[in-house]
Amino acid sequence: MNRFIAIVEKSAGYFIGALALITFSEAVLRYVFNAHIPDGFVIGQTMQGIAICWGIATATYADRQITVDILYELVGARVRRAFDVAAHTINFLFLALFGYAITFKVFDILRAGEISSELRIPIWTGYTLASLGILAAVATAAIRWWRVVYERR
Amino acid sequence: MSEQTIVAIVGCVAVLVLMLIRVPIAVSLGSVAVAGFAYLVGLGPALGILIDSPIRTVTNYSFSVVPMFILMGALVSASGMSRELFRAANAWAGHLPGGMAIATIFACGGFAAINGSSIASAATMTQVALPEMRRAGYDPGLSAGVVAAGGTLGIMIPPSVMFILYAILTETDVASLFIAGILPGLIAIVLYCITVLILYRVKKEWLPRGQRSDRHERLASLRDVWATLLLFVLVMGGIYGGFVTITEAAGLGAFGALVIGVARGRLSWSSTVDCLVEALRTSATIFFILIAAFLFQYFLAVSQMSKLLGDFLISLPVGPLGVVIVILAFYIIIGMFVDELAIILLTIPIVFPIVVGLGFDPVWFGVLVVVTVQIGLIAPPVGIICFIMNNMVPDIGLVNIYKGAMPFVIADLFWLALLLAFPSISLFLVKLMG
Repeated sequence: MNRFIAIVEKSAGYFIGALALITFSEAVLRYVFNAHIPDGFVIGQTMQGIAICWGIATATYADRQITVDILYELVGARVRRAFDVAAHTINFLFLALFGYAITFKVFDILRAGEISSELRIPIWTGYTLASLGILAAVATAAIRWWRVVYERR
Repeated sequence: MSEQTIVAIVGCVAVLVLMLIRVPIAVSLGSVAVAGFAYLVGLGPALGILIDSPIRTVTNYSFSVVPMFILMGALVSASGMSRELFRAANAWAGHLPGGMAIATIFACGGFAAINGSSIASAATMTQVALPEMRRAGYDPGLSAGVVAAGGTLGIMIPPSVMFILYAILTETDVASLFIAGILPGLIAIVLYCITVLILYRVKKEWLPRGQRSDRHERLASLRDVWATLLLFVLVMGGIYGGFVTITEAAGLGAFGALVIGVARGRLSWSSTVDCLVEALRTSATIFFILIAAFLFQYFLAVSQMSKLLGDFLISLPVGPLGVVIVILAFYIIIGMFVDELAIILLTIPIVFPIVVGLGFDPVWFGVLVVVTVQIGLIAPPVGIICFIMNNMVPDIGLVNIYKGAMPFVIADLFWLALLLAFPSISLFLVKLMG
């Protein structure tokens, strides 16, 4: 699983790199050649969305989201366990709702048949990849919840 | 008390409780926002905002400045530019009283000009400057304090990720915020140097004087700083010369840092991939809170929480400036316990309309907020930079790091008072540049 997460992180990292390349190229093309990358804006924003959604998934798996630990550090093991169960349950439920909402959005876009203006790329493809990231976050949150509640890790 | 008021108060308390039981900050904010909105407006509209708002946030191209500047910071850190800056600063200032500490602060200031994250600045300088200071016989706690304080400059001197987030949330012009951060950043450098000189007067053995470098060494040290200067000119010159937008400048900075690093043989394929992963991790965490912060803004709007808090603050017998002081005091206190990034994203949507409604300049307030965040980064009991440094150099001890940072926290408070009393310090360059 850890190896899979590392591959996902690297792949999403490449999307961030591609975003930098697109932004840089757009600037250079515009000022030097008075040209632009066809649909560069759409491609860039889609890559950003995909990278961030998959980044949320890996951060959820690695328990890397920002938390306030001050009370958690002060309480005993039993209270800490109660906090863990409650926190991971709420985390999972929220992400599940988020996953449902983003899936709904993808179907909405698919139904509308939105395409990019220049290359006529179907918008739903990028949104689907992004939404899969959030669904992966739901899955990783479920794994963490299971580990905390049943395996007491 | 109206139903809206009760829901607003319950919502705030619920966010706090969830955060305290270690629910991720983004989830605390997001779940309360959706639940509160559903209660006040209905489940359908609440799901509606969850369907539309998050995807709009993650695919907003103008927000790409966040991952781009984070990537730029990661690349310049991996390229070893901080080491060159420190070497140059030490060659020129190392012989002064507390010279190596002053050199560290200068190097941090220089590094801040190409890196928008305080934590990255402090972590990098911990590897570069701290061993040198300890080798020169500096007090370990004080050395750590110098690095911690110097590291905080990362979010004041542009480009600053914190200014970008403030701009995103408040729709304030990022370019104005960047330019507004320059003078306060330079003043902070001067104040930190004065602090070092005072400490030298109090206890000379804590900060032994170094040897003066000869002219040849000094000039040679400047040769390596070209990369930092080039990158700074590329980004800031691009923005203020009117050649590129902020988003393009961020892309230019990230790509420029990559090209410079590769051309100088400082970045391998694997270290570049590591930087991309680091940028992804940080960006995803920030964006998740941003998603929740925007959801929370919907809840704030329907519960009229800002108005409620605004009415309360205005009713205090302290006057408009007193209200700003109360808000900043709240930031400093809560910043001692809660992650500063979260504070900004959580509270700015609430307090910003109040401050602007009182007639204050949003850019000036942005600078003040970032200063309070800076203070929180090194102030006990949860100064995150001190924590990170303690992980990196555990032999010094967290308490000693805090002790070393305290003189600079006092300098920061004086600095905050100065910026509060004289808004023109922050706004002078903004007005000058039009």
